[in-house]
Amino acid sequence: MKKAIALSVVLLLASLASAQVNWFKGTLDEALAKAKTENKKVLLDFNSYT
Amino acid sequence: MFQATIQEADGKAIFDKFKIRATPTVMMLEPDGSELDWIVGYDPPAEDYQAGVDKAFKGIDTYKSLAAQNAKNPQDIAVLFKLAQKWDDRYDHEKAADLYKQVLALDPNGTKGTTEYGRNKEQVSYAECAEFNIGASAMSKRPPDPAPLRAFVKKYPDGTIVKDAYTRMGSYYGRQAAKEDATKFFEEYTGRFPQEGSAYLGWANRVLLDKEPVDKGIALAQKAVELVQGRSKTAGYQTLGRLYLLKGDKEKSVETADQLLKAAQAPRAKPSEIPATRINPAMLAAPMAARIYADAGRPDKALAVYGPEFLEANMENSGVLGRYAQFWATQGQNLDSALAAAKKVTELAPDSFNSYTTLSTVYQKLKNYDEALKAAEKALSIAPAQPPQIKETIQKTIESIKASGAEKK
Repeated sequence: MKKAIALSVVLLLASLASAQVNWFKGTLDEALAKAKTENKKVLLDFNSYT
Repeated sequence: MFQATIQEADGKAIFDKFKIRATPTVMMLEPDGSELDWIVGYDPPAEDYQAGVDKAFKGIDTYKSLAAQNAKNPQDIAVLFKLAQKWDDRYDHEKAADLYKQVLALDPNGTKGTTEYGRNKEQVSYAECAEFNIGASAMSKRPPDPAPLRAFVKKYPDGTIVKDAYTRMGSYYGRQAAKEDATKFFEEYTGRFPQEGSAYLGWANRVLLDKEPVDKGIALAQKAVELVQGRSKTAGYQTLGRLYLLKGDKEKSVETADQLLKAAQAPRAKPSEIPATRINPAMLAAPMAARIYADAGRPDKALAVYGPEFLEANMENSGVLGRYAQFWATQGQNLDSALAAAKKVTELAPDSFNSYTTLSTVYQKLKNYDEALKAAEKALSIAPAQPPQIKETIQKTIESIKASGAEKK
């Protein structure tokens, strides 16, 4: 059963980055442009305030 | 890594762009902005979730790879089925149903392959699974449509998934269907699965909703508590207690609340293994029992199980404290303790507007309108802009507090 535990996911994303989550500062278009220059993919986290 | 928050204008636009219908959702994008894959919801353990993210970044069984395989070979049932599941995961049931229907068109008799189903990973034909998923999606429509699942249980009466089909329909017949249809459904459900406690409990809850036939409801709830275990047993006693209240038998309702508490105390894990902030069965059972005690005219018992001692033992969980404060504010009793709980909630969750609306509610009950107003204004200042009803509701509360304050003066 899926559980919507946003906090857990944020914590998990923190572990994925092996550090604190450094969310991209800027627009999504800017994030994609940066990803293109660095040949990387973008992880997009959709969340809501609980 | 980029984060979109639905309550913020920029975030809402991104939710709309990708048609995101649930949080948490994580989506992996190619640099050109096209969708590589997504994961909706969160299933512990965290390691498995992380493995899923890693797998997506490696391009294994992603939406993108499946779509490419489907373009090459539209007759591949396994690929069609997996693609449908991707859209189902994303709550895009229309796209999922289109793909499931393609599976059924290619394999109407369910002979061309199987997939794992459920926790026990039983093998079920793609066709049976596709029909079930179409039916389950129809139940989440507004209004729900039980017809596809009704057809499913007729077609697969002995199938692996049939009990799950009844469970899904149980939510609908338990709350939304016409009373006569609900009775027929639960007779059929309990007839086919006479040892399924949740079927009796669903029916008993339906009786509670209809407020009749009360004696039948009591018999059903009694059967349910005999059959179910764990948290469901607590829920069963709660229903039984409320049915006794409906009947006017306060003594029995109090006895049932006592049994509810006993059931919740059955050991499941060593106390030392349960973090203080985690909600455990006893935390949930106490307010359930207290509500029955209060409605049965035994506030002394409600206070004994869900009073200051409970508060002292659960001072670190904002959700539990918030419910405690709201409960006693509604009862209009134990208000000093409710205020202590509400104040603590604002310390534990200072960024949540709910913390301050709860504090405001308690102050209103105490007729301390100056403090109630301050708390409500704080709630308004930090409440999210979306959906707009949140701020509108708080604004109405503020007007009401001002009116009450003026009347008092």
